[in-house]
Amino acid sequence: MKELKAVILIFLLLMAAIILQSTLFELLNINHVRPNICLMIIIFAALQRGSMAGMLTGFTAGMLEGFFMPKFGFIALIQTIIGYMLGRFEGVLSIDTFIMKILLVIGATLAEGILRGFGHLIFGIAGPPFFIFVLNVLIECAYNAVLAPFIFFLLKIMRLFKVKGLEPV
Amino acid sequence: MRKLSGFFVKYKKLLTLVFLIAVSMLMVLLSETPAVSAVNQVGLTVVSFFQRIATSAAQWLGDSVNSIGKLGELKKELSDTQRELLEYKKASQDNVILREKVEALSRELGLARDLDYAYIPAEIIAWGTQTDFSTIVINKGAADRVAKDMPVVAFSGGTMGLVGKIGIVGSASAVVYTILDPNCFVSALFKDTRYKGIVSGLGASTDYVEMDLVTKSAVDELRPGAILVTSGLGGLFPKEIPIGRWREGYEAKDYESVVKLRITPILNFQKIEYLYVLKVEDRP
Repeated sequence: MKELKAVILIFLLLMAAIILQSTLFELLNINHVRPNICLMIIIFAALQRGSMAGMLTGFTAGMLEGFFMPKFGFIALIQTIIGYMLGRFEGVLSIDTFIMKILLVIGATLAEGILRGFGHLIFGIAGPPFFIFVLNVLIECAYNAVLAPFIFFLLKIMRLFKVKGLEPV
Repeated sequence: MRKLSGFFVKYKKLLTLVFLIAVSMLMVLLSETPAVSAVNQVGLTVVSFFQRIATSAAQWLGDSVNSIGKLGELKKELSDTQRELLEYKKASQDNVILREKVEALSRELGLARDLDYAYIPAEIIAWGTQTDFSTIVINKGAADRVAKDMPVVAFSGGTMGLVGKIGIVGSASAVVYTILDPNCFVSALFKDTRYKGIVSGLGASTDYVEMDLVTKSAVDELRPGAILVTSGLGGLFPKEIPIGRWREGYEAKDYESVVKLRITPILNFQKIEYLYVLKVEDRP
């Protein structure tokens, strides 16, 4: 019962993050780039609960984001892989220190950007030119890094990813 | 049987990963098929319901914060005799704001009346979250007879401009693929010289679009600021809807017979609020 509650709450959290990103955060954009709260939730889930929780959170977040994108499933694919890859570092990397939070977010944002770039090429999905794409990823890195300590603090006090049984053993 | 279940338990994570990747890839590859579109539409309907609430809440919050700010300023200056005067001023200010809003709406309505097509007015409730694409969520959907591929226009400074086309339709909301989106292609031509080309975007973070496949010789005849309009070819977009103006310069390789031009959209996508979905088939 507890795990079901946690799953529902995480889903609602992702939903809230996407709604925030697509509405209020438009006012905070820098060169149209907004902070990626979903990515931070994926990082948190993956490092706290492992690769299963990471990829499921990534997949769900990507599906929700994909509802208003030209290629449904594209973001889900990228974020599932990111969630899985980060989950492999469960117990190895910790997000307890300030520097680690920032470095992890920068690393994950860069990795997501690289995967997205490859995804555009592999699936033949039209995207922005290379230099604009790179600039956007760098802005997103900086934006996410600034917000990471605050978001991770909020996620920590929510204790959503601490519930036992979220990841089947 | 036991071996099989043992295999599933042992490789549970990897199998889940493969399954999720396969589902995502299938969704990408089949994103234009009715089955995946139906899933997309249901999802859009649900998510946009909350987006609408969030947008309304943000507006309410913004208004409230402004009111609190104003009250704070007023309190500092208040005295018994000034209070009535200040309240009168505030009432008068609200009146001015209301009048301005009415005038803006009347202007929009007046401009909209000039459209040659029947239209569905709509408001923006959300924006796409990824800069690789450029999408807008509007508050009208299938219930308002909005359909896929309908052209969308808006007005800016008294000029009509092309916003894009309807991409996904939910029951009470729809996603517009703007001309800034790299997946939105518009057949266009220059109003004066009639040189044709294909316009597509470069993502949400750019303030220009590109016009490709323009004959090289066109560059000699074009002047910076030349107006680009829809050509009507393909039947998706009506003819003569302004798209943008040519910025100076072009891109072309020596061996190519066509050039790529940089176009500044007529509309400032940051500022548009009201959109008009055109019912092309209902032309009076």
